[in-house]
Amino acid sequence: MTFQAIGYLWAALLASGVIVALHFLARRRPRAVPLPTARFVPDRAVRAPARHRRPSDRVLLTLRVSALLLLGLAFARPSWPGARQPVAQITIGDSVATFSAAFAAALRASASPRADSIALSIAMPLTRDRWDAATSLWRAQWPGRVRVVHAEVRRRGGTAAVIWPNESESGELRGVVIGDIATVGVFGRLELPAGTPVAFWHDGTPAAVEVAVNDACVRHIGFVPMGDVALRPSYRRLAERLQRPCGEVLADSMSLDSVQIALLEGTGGPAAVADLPPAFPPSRPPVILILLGALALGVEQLMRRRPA
Amino acid sequence: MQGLTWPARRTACGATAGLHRSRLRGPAPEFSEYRLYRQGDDLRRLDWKLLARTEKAFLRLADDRAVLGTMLVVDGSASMAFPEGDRSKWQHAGTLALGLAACARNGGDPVGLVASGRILPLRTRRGVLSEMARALEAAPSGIWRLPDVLWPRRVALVSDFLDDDAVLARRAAEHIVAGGEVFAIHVVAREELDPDGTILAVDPEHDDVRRALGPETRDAYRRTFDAWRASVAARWRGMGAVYHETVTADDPGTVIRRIVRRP
Repeated sequence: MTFQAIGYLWAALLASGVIVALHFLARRRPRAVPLPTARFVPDRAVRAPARHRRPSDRVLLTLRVSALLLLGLAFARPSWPGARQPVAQITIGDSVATFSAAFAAALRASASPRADSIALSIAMPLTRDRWDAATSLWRAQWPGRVRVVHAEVRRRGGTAAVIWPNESESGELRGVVIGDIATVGVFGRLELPAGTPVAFWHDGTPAAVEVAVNDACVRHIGFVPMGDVALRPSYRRLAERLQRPCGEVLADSMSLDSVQIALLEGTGGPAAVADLPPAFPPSRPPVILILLGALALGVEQLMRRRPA
Repeated sequence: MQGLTWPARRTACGATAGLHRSRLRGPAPEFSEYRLYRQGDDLRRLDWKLLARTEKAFLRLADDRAVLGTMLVVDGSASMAFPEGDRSKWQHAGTLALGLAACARNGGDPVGLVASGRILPLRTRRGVLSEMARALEAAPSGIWRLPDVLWPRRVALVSDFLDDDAVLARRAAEHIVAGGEVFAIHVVAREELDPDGTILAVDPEHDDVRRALGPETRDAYRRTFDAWRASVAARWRGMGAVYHETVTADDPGTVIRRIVRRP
């Protein structure tokens, strides 16, 4: 078993030692007994200090130490040794809207594989519309080199048959992005078949896909404008872009320059798992269970604590 | 308590014939003295033989005998429930009250009881002791006031006197001054005299009184408790009451015999 933050475990062990010592040196509170003549007892300190050979209230001590150790264990984030491989491969395809979303997805995915280092590949069109203001910051979070694969926008020029959905039962405030065009409004959202994304929702998921059929292609649109969204100029431009021939929907975007590509690629080898930021790994069920166990033991020791 | 009676310490005052010497002179068969006839005296009490011999009218007087109403008042405060179980002060006080009532009843005296909120007025009938026993079966309920109208010639207060009831003490003093008899029977638990171990003593009547009783404080506790009991005895004796202290470990029969012993 390995720990990502073993300091918490040491701290819990230290605190447990203090608790055990306190149980040996505890000031024993005498048991309350009704005595009608209590008024004749001199009014002195209610607690009497006493040092014992055996710890007082061993059940309570066990509960307290167990709760502390479990808490420390949970915060130390243990992981069990398994079949680790030296290098794991993560590939982010062209299903995200921006490079920022690609790096966020890579960091999220890096919590799962059991490997010493992770080699990241990003296969996306290297167009400027994929580069946003946060891209360089997200890139700084990934410590190793990134293999950047330029996914060319196809230019088949064939006829595109666009399937517009009729209507949707409910809508939400969403954004739809195609290249350098974005529109925000109330959209209904529909399921899409597998295909090449040509439009994206604001969260990076495909909003329209293109499926090649011989020389032509079929575009499935997964958003339905609601209210007056369809009348907005941005939406009309977006709809016009979707009517273009196959492979030309994103053609207006300019390519990244060499400095941006170099920044994306970075230097060094695959990213070491130890160097990855810990913010993104999802909560592991065992940690939650350990925390719940610590909480239950804490409540139990409160219930068992001797009344004042 | 069979055959044991509770004699009066003072002359009784009552018209009903009984066991105790009365302040009244009457037509009892036990001759006491002669007195010259005065106008208005009952002619039936004239000693006609003496009149024939001396030609002077004398009345034949005799000591009268009267009953002595006895009310037993048992303290039902929360402190009397200590210690828990069959050896509580309440149990001991109830046994003493019942025994004293039996002694008084043996002498033909009417007896009554105030305990746990119940008042049994003075009675002489056969089942009065059973009624008292049933009344004493109830747990102590804290009420033990004796209404002024129910103060008979003899009153026995069975209590731990921890309430320091000034009203009761003043009323008892007035009763003694008026010719009545008051018995103050102080019940002390053995556990109060010598509490075991180190405890947090909690007064059952005052929750805010919580004191640690251990080796360091035990001697001071005993001294204070002894001094208080001495002051209680001095106060009751000072007002003319008959004071007896009894511990729950005492044999009730022995205590009762000591109380009813002829002065």
